[in-house]
Amino acid sequence: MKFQKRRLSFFHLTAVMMLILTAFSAYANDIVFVINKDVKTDKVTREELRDMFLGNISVWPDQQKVNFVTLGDPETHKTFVRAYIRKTESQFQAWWKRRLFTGTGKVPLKFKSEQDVIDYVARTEGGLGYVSSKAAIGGTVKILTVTDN
Amino acid sequence: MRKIILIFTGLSLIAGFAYAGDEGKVDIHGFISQGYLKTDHNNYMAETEDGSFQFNELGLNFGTDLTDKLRLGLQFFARDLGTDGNDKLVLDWVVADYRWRDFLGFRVGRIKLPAGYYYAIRDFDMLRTDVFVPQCVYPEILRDTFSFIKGISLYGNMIGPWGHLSYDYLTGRANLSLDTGLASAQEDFWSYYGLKLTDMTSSQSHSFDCKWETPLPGLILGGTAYYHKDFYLEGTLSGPVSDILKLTYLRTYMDFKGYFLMLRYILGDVAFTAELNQNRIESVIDADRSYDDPGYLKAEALTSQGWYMALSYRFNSFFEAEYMYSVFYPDKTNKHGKDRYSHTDLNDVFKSVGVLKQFYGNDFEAWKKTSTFSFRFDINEYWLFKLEAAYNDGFGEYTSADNRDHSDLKRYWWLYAAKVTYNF
Repeated sequence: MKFQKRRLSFFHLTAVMMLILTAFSAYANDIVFVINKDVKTDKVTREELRDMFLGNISVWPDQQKVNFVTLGDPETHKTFVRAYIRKTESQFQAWWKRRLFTGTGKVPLKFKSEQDVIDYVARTEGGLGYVSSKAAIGGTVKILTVTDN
Repeated sequence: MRKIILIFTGLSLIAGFAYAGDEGKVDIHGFISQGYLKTDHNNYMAETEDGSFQFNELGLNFGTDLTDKLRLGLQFFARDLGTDGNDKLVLDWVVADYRWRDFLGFRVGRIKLPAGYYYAIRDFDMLRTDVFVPQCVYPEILRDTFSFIKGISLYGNMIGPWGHLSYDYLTGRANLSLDTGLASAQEDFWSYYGLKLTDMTSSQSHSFDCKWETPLPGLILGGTAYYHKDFYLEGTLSGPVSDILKLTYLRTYMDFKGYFLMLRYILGDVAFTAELNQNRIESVIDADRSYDDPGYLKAEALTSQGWYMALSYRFNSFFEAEYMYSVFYPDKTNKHGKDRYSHTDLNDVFKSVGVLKQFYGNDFEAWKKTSTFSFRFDINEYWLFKLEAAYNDGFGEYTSADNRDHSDLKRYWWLYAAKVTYNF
């Protein structure tokens, strides 16, 4: 009986984990990362991407500075910080304001529209941004693939 | 102050229009806050028994990237809290930051001291749920002294399968002057000797801070070790006790040694934070009959200890709440208040001028145990409002400067705080 209970708990735990992962994957699929065409990388891991947006990794493998920007659209931004940064919007904001007001960094630029993000990334060395999967990306930037490992 | 607010308003409007796309130019940011404090008994940090609006802060921040690796920044700051600050505008920090690699960067200038989780950010309301940072670990009298170090910093971060490690070593001179809270605390402690400080200088300070983001998502462990060496204080004595002892001069050398340990766990909208601080002050006190005469010489050491645990939950983008329990012992060797400060050789002198009771204080001044309930309302990205209620058992503090007569102190008391902040 005890064994059955344990199996049941394990089953429940696995199911919950699967649901969470599926939910995050669904979120994650709604986001597309765009980079400047001159960046000599097409692929980063999820952890590397997180560290770039938190300022822990400041250069691409080809030594160009990572110039990342965020999107003002609340829904896409919220999805992005939850799925890729593992923070809430307020935690992400506090992370950068902490750096700003203690003299250890600056807050990332924020653009109102997806087209503004794409235009900035296209014209900026080492540019990195994100847009929703519905955005018309065009050929001025390239898409960055994010892998789990 | 009026001029400062006008400049602040102008700059916030300019920064408001510069929504994005101004890369390469000077970034301007800032904040302004106004609070209100009220206690049912005991004055705390200000004349709070009657309610006090002497509780505000203002900061203006400028920064620019000179190259991909070099950033320059500075921040002006003004505050008022009871008798401290008085809205005097000071240079909070000014830093040239050269990030050579991610694992090693250099900062020079007047650098914010990253001690514990809160020291570097205690002036910035928008970065926490509570109105007051936990006083058990971040006592107000050390706020100015632990605010920055004038010197250099080596910092960096490393990433691996074991998680993420960030570190920061600072060395230089700490902030010590007659304007700091430590000065008023010393004058308060020596009030029966009538101490009037005339000079305070600092020598060498060292601090090492590190934070480890463990492989378990959301779990961060951290620690800070610090050593402020040879703080020098000098002043004249003219009071009831010093008159009897015929003392006219005081010189004190102080060393501050201590550490912080921190654990923080974030799971979605829930955050749990716990910290422990131990601070040891070693003093050599030389009270003389004249400047050149080595008179009454005494070595003293005081080790204080404080810790807290806080649990916060963000309900939605508008509302966050936190509960915190904190404990502070000004003298960790005497947590129950019996026989505090055993200056037995001076008891007769204190008794003869009628200040024995005032000098020793009450038993409950040996501890402070506080339950704090904080509520934060984010009206929008720029405005926020906070309410806080703290129930206290005891009045354990480094100083009781706002309560001259110890016999009026009450063991159990409430502190209420409200604060509104604008930042951009």
